[in-house]
Amino acid sequence: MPKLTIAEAIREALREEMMRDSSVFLIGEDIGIPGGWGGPFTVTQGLAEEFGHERVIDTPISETGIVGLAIGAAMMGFRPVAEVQYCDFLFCAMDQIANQAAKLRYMSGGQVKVPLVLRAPTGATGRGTQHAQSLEGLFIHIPGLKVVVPSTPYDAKGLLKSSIRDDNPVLFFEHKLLYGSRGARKERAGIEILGEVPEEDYTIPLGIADVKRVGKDITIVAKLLMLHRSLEAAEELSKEGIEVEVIDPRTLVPFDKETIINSVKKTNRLLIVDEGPKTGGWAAEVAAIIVEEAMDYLDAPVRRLCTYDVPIPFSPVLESYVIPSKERIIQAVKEMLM
Amino acid sequence: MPVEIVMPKLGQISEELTLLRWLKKKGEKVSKGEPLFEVLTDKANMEVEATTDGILTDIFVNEGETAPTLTVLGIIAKPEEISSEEMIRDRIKASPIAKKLAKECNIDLSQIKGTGPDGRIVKEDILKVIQNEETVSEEIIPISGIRRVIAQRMVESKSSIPHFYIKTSINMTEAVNLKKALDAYLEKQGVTVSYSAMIIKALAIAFLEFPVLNALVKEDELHIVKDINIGIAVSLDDGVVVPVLHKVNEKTLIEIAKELEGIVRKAREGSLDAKAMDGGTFTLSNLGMYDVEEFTAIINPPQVAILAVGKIEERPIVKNSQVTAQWMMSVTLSCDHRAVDGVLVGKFLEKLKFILENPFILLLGVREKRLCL
Amino acid sequence: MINLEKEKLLLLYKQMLSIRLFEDRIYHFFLQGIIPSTLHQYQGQEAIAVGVCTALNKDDFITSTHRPHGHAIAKGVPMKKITAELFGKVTGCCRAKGGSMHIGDYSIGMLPAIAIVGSGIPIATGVALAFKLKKTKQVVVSFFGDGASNQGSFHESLNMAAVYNLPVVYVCENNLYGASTHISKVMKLENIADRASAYGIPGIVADGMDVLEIYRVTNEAVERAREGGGPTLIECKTYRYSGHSRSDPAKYRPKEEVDFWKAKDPILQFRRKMFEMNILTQEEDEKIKSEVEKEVEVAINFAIESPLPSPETALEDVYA
Repeated sequence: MPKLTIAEAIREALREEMMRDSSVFLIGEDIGIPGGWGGPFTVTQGLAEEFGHERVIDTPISETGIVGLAIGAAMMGFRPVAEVQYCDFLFCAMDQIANQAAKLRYMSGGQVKVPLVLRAPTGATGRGTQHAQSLEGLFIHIPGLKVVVPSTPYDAKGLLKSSIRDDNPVLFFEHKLLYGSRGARKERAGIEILGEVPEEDYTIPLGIADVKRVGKDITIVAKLLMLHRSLEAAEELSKEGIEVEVIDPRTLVPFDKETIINSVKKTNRLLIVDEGPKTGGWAAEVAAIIVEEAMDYLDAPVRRLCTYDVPIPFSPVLESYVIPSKERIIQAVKEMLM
Repeated sequence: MPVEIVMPKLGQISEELTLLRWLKKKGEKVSKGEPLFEVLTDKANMEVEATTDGILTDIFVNEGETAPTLTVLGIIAKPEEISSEEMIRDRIKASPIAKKLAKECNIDLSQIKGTGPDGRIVKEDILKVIQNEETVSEEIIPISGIRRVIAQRMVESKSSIPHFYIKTSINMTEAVNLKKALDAYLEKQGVTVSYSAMIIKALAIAFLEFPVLNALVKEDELHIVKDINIGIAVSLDDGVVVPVLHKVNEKTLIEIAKELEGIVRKAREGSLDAKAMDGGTFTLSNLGMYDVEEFTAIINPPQVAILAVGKIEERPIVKNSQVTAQWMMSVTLSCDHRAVDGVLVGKFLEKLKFILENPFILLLGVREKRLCL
Repeated sequence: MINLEKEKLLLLYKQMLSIRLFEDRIYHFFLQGIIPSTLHQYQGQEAIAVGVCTALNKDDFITSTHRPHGHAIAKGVPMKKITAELFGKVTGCCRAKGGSMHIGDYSIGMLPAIAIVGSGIPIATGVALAFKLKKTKQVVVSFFGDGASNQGSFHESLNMAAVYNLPVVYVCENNLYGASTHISKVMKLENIADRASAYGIPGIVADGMDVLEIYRVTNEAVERAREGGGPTLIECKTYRYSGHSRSDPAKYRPKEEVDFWKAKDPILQFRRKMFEMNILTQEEDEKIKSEVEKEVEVAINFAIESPLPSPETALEDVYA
């Protein structure tokens, strides 16, 4: 089985879905320009050449327009995969995402559906405040959207296929440091996650978490880059006899709470690690669910380890201070086991 | 002002008492005069009442623990005297899983010291308790309460008193016949004369000639007691109690028999009072009803001796060179060698034997320490 | 202009009358408190909805705004479905989930109306993109007001429509007020249509009180779009008789202005023309009027008698 990076896995998913279903098209900035990049993180390289510019549509810098057009087309039977270059730019299109895409089906009493996928690179990469946010948690608070957060190549391909085939608007967050993009677009601090990705068609249903590491002393739930840091932390803790169970939610909406509750029943301790800011974030939602539904199994308070409530600073020493590091994860686990 | 609950002085010999049970829970309301806790003295369980109204706010001595008299066992406070800080402090901190496990396994959280942050009781603390209860492949029963008291006393007795033992066999054939006749005669009164009653009476008569066996050893002194107070060992579920028949020297056989019946019944019911346990000068232990041939008992200090009596059974006896079946009973007298020696005891037993083998003597009166018809 | 067949002319007339009588009648129920929300009414602008929609085919689409009743009736949403939706009944076009500002009926080519000013314009543009990709010759009309033309979404949409050459007709109903603000306060241009040149597309100014003119210019724009000629911006000068919403007494408008525009009433104007040309008799007029009144009554009664939705249905239709 071939080993792919996340960028390659996503590209493969797009390619396969476009081949399989002629109603799938891509729309965004710099995605199909001949001689161009294939999007800011190389994901769409080669697709315009293969499918033509009516299926890989380059746009002006008009996020409202990009998302609005995608919504209109989606209601007319297409399955657009739109993208913004940095998830921070989702705010530019917020009205279309939150007021239109999320609500059109509901407010029409089910007359229409909006089968739209909106891809957005997330995470801090030393580019400064407005190109650094982790906004996944924000979108769980808008009923009508689905939110997907793949952290491995295998998951990325399977989840993207499911997202494209889903009849609802899906926000698909890809972490910039996990793409594994090569060449000129390689991220300085990127991790190349290579994973085996089946060549055949397969999907991963939305709403199913994945236990990435089995343990017994404490449960960590984390996504994207934080998942990988948690796994690294778990390896180190294992040398001290602490066995951490690490769960990858894979999707935030729909959310697989059962897997986490079952894990907490076993370990009695929960730590949520999230690159988003702490206050009102996704970690708070998970904590609330566990306290509501699994309180009797807790041996210690649920804890959230998140980025501090500050905009992301530029200088690397500042950026790495504010975002949870492997060391901070290890420290938090030990404190919770005291 | 909060009131202290203290370990009472109940006129017992030992200075330490065991707190058997709290009859109220921490935080419960208490009324003056209501039974508050139960202590075990040397001899019996006693309820102690609350001396004031209020709430039982603190417990310092737990069930099963011993403490000297006047120890502060707990506090009763008026509701307005309890600060909310105390109430928060008294709230048991336990993690949700610990509470759940404790509830499922019937473990009392207030008895556990938590090892978590801030003294929180955590899962591990509960698991330890469960494990301790489980890993033992044998059943562990703590030696507490009456058993403990007995244990202490027996150890004390065996280690400080130089025991020696003399055994003899008594021909009870005549005694058997007398008992039959007496029981038939007294049937309408609902009285039966037990062998123990007969032995007690026999002892009392024998002591007239051997007063040194009805004595108490107190350090270097031998206190020869005028009254003959014979304790009879009665076995209960959790141990042995020894109620005393007082002044048997002044009582007839029938009176002794009646009193003995009453005392044994009370002992089994647990309704003996402290007086009933007091003042014994000699102890009789009869295991005859249990198919025991003979046994050796441990002296009840500060007494000088104890008589252990086995069952009455038909044995082949050579009499006038003929083998006949006679009703025989083995008795063993354990004695304190500081007070008596073998020859004296041997003579005493001879006397006892004579009385029981000629049981009409038991029906004689006693005046001024002399038998009379 | 008057070269249209009598049938068509009567249709135009009846449609305008339908909107007017419907809106007037609905207002009565609003005053009684039977309609739960406020209303944004269309009296005075009928010529635009009717002129535009009559120029469309059945499979063409429209997008609308917070003021959708006129567009809905003109495009063909059954009156019953509109009234029931306004009354909050389960038989409404949106199953009582949308209300006045989200009227729509996909089956006859009207997407659910968008209540955020300007937000429907990119969506309409996306519909046009779909038509182009599908190569179906369908056209979409994007209705919006003068206020919306100042939204960023207007700019992005017209630009992209022009660049991609999309089959969309942008119809701007300039009734001189964005809520309570007169257009002269928020735009330096005299005509919104002049903005079209910024995107390289045709911009047409039309008399929004003249249904035949609206019909004509829309026809041209639609044909152009169908033939691959790209988008057009049509600005219709018009006036709304009511306040922004029915909770608005519109004290910010001078009486002379209101009277000026009412004198140009599209229905009166058109009726007069048809009387003059002997296309319509008094009798026929009465007949049409009573037909419309009856239709409105039937729709109202339907709404009154329809059941309310059961509360748990509030949890349905979030996801497909």
